[in-house]
Amino acid sequence: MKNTAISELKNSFKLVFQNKLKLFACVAAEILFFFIYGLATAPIYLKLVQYTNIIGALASDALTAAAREQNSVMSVLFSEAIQPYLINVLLLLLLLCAVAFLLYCVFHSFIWNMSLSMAGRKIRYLDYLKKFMLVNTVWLLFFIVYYFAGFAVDIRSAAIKTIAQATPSNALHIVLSAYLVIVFYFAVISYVELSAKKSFGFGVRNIRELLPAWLIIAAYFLILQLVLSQVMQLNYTAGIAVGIIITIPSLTIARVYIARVVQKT
Amino acid sequence: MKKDDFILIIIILIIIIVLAWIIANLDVLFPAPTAKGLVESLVK
Repeated sequence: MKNTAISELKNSFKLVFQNKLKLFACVAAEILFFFIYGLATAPIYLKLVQYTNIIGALASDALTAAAREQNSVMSVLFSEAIQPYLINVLLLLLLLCAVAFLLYCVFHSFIWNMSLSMAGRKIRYLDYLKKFMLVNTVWLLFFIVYYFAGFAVDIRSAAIKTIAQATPSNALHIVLSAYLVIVFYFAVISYVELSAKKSFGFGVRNIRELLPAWLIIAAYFLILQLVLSQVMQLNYTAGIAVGIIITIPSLTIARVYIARVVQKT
Repeated sequence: MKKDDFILIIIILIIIIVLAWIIANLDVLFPAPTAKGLVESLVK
């Protein structure tokens, strides 16, 4: 049991290279996902920037007045002048969330289904998609908490920088990153187990078996990142090309590997 | 194809069409604020 992380690493490579067509399908779906995601969300981001710039401009005057009159930041954000723009920003964020969720579920359920199939667990795509969507609604809630907590931390940092003229500590950012890593750990297990509830129990019970596999993946991507940044310094285009050619198939191998380790644990 | 698979595909297709329509009409649904509108907001 202790050698699962090492033995399955070898097996995963073997399985992926035995299923070249599935590997190619995963790589194609991953590239298509990035392309369509960029195409669909770029106009939303553009609108968000427009509205947040206006809110920023309107709020700077209102905040100075609020500080004088000792009003809260919330009262400024929900003032008559800013409220319509704020509602639009919230609606745009909701739209962004819906688009990202749908695209992520459609493409990544396909990629995970293919990876699981390579790892020896065949599930019908539509059955997998249903469960994948259900599981991801749970993770979406965790991600929304992360997103708004991050937003609050950024506002706090900006306020400390501008009002107190001090350097804010990074402690809250580190806590948020740790939160994201923990959510990601359980989310990946749930993509194999197909249950968010089961993934919590499984992830905690088997952390000693799963952690070495995670560390191997993390170390691999860290080294890859370092190598790619060196290549990009020499030749930017070559760096991007090598990055795409190596990183995307590596993601599939990592998925197959983690699926094998979870199944064998 | 099972009946609930068919329903799932139809629901996903409807959501995709609605979201694509919203993104295509983003400028109409969320108009860029005009200088006049901004001045009015500031006066308020």
